[in-house]
Amino acid sequence: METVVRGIAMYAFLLIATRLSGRRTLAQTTPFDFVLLLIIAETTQQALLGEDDYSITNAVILIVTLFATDVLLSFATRKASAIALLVDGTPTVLISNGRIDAEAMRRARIEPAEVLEAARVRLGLERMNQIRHAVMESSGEISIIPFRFNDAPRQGRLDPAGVAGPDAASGSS
Amino acid sequence: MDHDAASATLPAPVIRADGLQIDEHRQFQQRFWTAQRYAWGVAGMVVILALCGLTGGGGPLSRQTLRIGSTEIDVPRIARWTADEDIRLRFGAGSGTHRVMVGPEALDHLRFVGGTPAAVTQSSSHKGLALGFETGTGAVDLHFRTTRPGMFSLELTVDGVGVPAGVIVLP
Repeated sequence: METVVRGIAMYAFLLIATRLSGRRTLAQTTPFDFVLLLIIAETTQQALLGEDDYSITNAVILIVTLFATDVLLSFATRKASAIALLVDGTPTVLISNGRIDAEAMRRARIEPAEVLEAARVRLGLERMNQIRHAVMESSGEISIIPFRFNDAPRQGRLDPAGVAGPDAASGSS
Repeated sequence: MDHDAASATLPAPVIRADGLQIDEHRQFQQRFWTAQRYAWGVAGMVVILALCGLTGGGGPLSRQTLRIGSTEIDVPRIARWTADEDIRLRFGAGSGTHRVMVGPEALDHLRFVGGTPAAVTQSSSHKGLALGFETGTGAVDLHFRTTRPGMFSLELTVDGVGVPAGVIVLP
C-alpha cells in the first residue's frame, strides 16, 4: 500500500510543481533546465521507493501505479474540460494581427526576443512586423503565423515599444 | 461539405475576429498566473521554514532542549519519516549509573537503534523502553529511526523523573 501512496503522492506533487513553476520549464532546453531535471529525478527516487525495499515487486508496483495514474488523468482531462485546463493549461495569444499583447507577455514571462527567436527558427522570419500571430501553446512552445504575401502589415498596427524597427512605420517588409 | 459535417459532430474552437481558431481561456489563464505567483511565494516560505529547521533535517528550530533537574536533554522537535534521529542526554550528576525510560507512545513512531555509549541494560514493557547506562562522561546519545509520520508526545524519564515533549514527524 505504501508504494502506491508514495507513487501517487510524488506524481501529484511533481505535476503541480511543474505546472506552477511556469510552463516555459517544459519547452526550454537550457543547460540549467537539463540539470534541474536530472536533480529532480534523483531526488524523487528514494521518496518513490521508500526504505530499504529494492525488490522487483516494489519497482513493478510503483511503475504500474504511475502508469495507471497517468491513464486515469488522461481520461479525466478528456471527460472534464476544467481538469484539462488545470493539468494541460491553455494557449495564450501573444501577438494578434501584428499587435503585441504586452500584458500577456509580461505575465507569461516571455520577452520579444524569444518570440523573434521562434520566428527565425521555425519560419526564417527576420522582423517582428512579419509576424501576424504568435501563440504560446500549452506545452510552452511558441507558434508563429506569419503575414501572408498579400497580408502586408498595416501602419500603426505595431507594438507601442517599437521593437519592430523603422521598417514597420513604412509598411515595408 | 466534409469539413462542415466534421465540425457539426466534433466540437471545435470558435474562429476569433483576428482569424485565429483557438480556445484561449484568457480569464482562466489570468487566474492561473495569479495562483502561480502565490505558489512562488509559498515556495519561498517553504525554503525559509526549512532554513529555520521547521521542516526537520537540522536547523535552529528543529530541536528542543528539556531539563530534568540538572540533566539536559536535546530532543528533536521536527523529525522526518524514516530518518535517523538522536536524543542527547547530558547528565548533570556526572559519571555514574543512569536509568532512562522512553514512553510507549514514542515507541509507536520511533525504533531504537542503539546508544553511544551502549546501554548496559535494556528492557521493554508496557511502560516503554528502559535503558541503563554507566557513563563516565555524563553524556549519552540515543539513536532512533522514525517509523511513521505523525505527532506524538515523547515522554522521557531520567532516574525516575519524567518530562514530556511534543514531536512532529513529517512524511
